[in-house]
Amino acid sequence: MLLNKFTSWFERHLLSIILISSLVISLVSFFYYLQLDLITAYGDSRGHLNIARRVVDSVTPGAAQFGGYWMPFLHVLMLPTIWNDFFWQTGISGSIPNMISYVISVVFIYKLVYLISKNKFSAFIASIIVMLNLNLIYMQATPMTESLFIATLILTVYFLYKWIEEKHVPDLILSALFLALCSINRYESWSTVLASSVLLIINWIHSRFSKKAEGAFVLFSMVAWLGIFGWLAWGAIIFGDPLEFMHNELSAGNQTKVAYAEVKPVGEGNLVEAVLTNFFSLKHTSGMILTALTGLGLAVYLVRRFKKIFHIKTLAIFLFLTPFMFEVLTVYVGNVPVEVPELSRLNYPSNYFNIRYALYSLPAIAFFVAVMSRKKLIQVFILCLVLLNYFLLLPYGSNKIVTLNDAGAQPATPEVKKSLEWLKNNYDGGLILSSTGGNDKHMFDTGIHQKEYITEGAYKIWDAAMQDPAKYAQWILISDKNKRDNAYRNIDKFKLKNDYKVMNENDEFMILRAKD
Amino acid sequence: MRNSLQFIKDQKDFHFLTFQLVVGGKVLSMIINPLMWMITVSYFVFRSTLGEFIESFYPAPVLYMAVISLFLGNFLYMYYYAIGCAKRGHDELIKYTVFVPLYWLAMSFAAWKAIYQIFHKPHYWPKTKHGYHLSNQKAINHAESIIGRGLTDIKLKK
Repeated sequence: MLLNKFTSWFERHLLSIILISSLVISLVSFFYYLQLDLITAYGDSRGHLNIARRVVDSVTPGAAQFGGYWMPFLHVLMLPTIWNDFFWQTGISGSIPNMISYVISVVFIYKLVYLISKNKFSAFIASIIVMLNLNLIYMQATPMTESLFIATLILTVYFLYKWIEEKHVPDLILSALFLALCSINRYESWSTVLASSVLLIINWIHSRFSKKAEGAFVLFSMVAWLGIFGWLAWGAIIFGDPLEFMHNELSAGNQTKVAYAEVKPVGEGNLVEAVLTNFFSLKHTSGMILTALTGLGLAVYLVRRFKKIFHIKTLAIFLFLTPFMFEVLTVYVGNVPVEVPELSRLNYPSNYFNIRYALYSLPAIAFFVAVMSRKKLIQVFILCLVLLNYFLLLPYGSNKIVTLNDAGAQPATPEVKKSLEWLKNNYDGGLILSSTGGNDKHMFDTGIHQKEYITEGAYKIWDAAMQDPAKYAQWILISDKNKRDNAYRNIDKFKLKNDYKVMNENDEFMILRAKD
Repeated sequence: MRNSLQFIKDQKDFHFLTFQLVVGGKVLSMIINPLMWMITVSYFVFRSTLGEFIESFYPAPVLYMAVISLFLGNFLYMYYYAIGCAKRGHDELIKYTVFVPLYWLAMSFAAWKAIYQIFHKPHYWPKTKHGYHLSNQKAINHAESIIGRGLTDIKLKK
């Protein structure tokens, strides 16, 4: 009797319980990682914070500071708080949108699975899979783009499916809008944009070229492609090159060329290896049991929907698989390498380099595992397996949270520490000339305001400072070892020697001050 | 507006200004539109020579407003037509809304022609010829079903 009452209460309040649980997990994990000083452990997280900060705190503040290689959605969301030193230096500015995204992901994967299966237990399993993933829990506390990507992807599919079920035009537009937002966050989503348009074309053909399906395709695609065309237009306006994100020397492709100059990245030109790399990434980020269950769930889904394989209801879910396919492609092309211990040849920069990208498949994992069965007994068994899977991933003994491991794999070298400590203690005002390429740690950890730096983003001032640095900069932070240091490559070396004296020097960095 | 002073007297608060912005502003935007497109195209095509000159007219706040209007404003204006078609069930028309900028171009042409005519044919009224739809029996049937009786002016179709 009492058990029945509790079960009934639990079912009625399930969504609220899930919402509150995810909120608690998000907050507790955030404060946990904050006190361990791990919020900004990823080098890229400091880069994201600095980019957003430079929009409001720079020699030349403004939207142009969003730059041309990392897309701006997360940076835009940071703007309400990034102006504040506390929010910038702790990284909270970037954590807030990601924590909200995490909660949205958990809630909306529940709503999506319930919408499709009309089964609360299945929806509950899906939300547990997203909620308890330790790698996502870490990433949502950081100023990185993963959590935001997952939330916008889930929202895209949720509203698309809602439109399929209820045929309300605003749902279709909302789906396209979230996809457009997703597409100005990470390049992986560009494959989802393409796939979604193809999906609606198939739907149009399947409906025997009905005007309704044709209208839906146009209405959806007009918004969904907005982010991509907007980003290309941005490149053309600010840099005079719509493909700036590919040509920029800090782009993923160009950075890979530098980092993998000696050894070919794993999976490049080898499709089997590329697939295996991504398979092992899934295993490390979500666990072996869940990875195996996903394969099984996908097979069950395909068999169950075989007769309706080209139906939009079947295909809409495949949008969750597009990031995985994109990752396989980029590993195969050698553009964005991923390292897994099973295949790594180089141990560079870590055995788990870029392994976080496998988290983009978490919505697919949650969906295919959750809808595998409607039988209560099997569902309880699946839930137990999910819990066991995450229990086995807990960080004890040789176990580790792989994303955290990747984040900490590139600790600051003693040289970086020494030079940034020196700068922090001896800086007494005046502009500092420094390239953003590889110097984000200095620019972040010293806490010196970004308006004191002349970087590549200062455009004309930067160009002029390269010719006559003493006219603009009191200080210069430079590295002759760092291949991405534009200041060292382009500065007038004669004037550098004549007009500046070396204040601090080690094997990697040199800090110079203008002669009086 | 023929008697502007009386019009101001008749209106309360800022209604006069609102009227000017909504009615007059719309006509003004049609006149300015080609000029803005010329500046935009020139900026990208002749960026190396004209770029700096054009940029000098756009201090940061103006630039942000202009860029938002150019991309988001134009897009939203176009998209409203698409949503309108979808809401009214004219799904077959949605795809044509991408050509709305051409319609604006035609409107601008009409606005400039009107300016020319103010000086050269001030009393000329190029009245729109109506009734082309009456050559279509389907349209006649549709109209008759709405008003519940036969059309009286079918002659126009000839």
